[in-house]
Amino acid sequence: MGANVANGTVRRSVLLPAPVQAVWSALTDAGQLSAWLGGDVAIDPVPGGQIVVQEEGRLRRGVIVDIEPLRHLEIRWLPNSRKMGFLWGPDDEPAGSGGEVEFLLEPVPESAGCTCLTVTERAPVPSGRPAALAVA
Amino acid sequence: MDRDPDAANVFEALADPTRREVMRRLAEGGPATATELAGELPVTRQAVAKHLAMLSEAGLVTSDRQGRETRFSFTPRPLADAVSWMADVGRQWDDRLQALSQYLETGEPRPKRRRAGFDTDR
Repeated sequence: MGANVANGTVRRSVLLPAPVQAVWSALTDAGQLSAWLGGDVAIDPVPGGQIVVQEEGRLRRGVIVDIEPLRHLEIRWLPNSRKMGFLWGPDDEPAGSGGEVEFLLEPVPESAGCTCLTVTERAPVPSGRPAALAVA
Repeated sequence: MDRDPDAANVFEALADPTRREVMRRLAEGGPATATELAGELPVTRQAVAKHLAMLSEAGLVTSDRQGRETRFSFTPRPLADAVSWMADVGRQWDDRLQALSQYLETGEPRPKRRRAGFDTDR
């Protein structure tokens, strides 16, 4: 839990009152995501799939960089664009990263039906530099 | 989250231990030239110059040229911005995770939240 300024990482762990399957659905189903976030979410929960989140009037677009059902989900946000149109082709992907968010789900043996969820958010990386450089 | 681009540069600058050392030296010992810093730290002058350029880009140091000498000073402001970016993100997650927990418990959706004045991007 907490924050690390030296690497731009914020982490939170919570114990959720639901089994892993239910938590996973809440994180990967567009309808459920929209319901608990109080926003509008579109998600294609496959590797390389897109996610679009509109939350409190803010629009974010990302790509799923890792997905392991019931266990791990990692999203890389695309850098903000001042332009309205966003390019999606593989060659159009902008350099840098608008930040990353990672979800890790763990069953909790000592409290049946509960799930420990750890969320890690990493700060954006300046555009023009590969993302891998800055999150090292 | 309006500070994103700045915060990004700051985190990148802070990611390197030598840059953190240069910053600490300037913060504690006051302004110095690249040559002075290289004399005090276990790095070459050339490496120090590179680190100073990156710290400048992030707004963490400013340079002041006097004659043939350029002195660098520590400017803490972007550090405060980066810390407040992290505090904002932390608060947002506290808020979202509470909403998620409530949703899992009750199955009831959270009311849609809209900011006054729609902005398409941060």
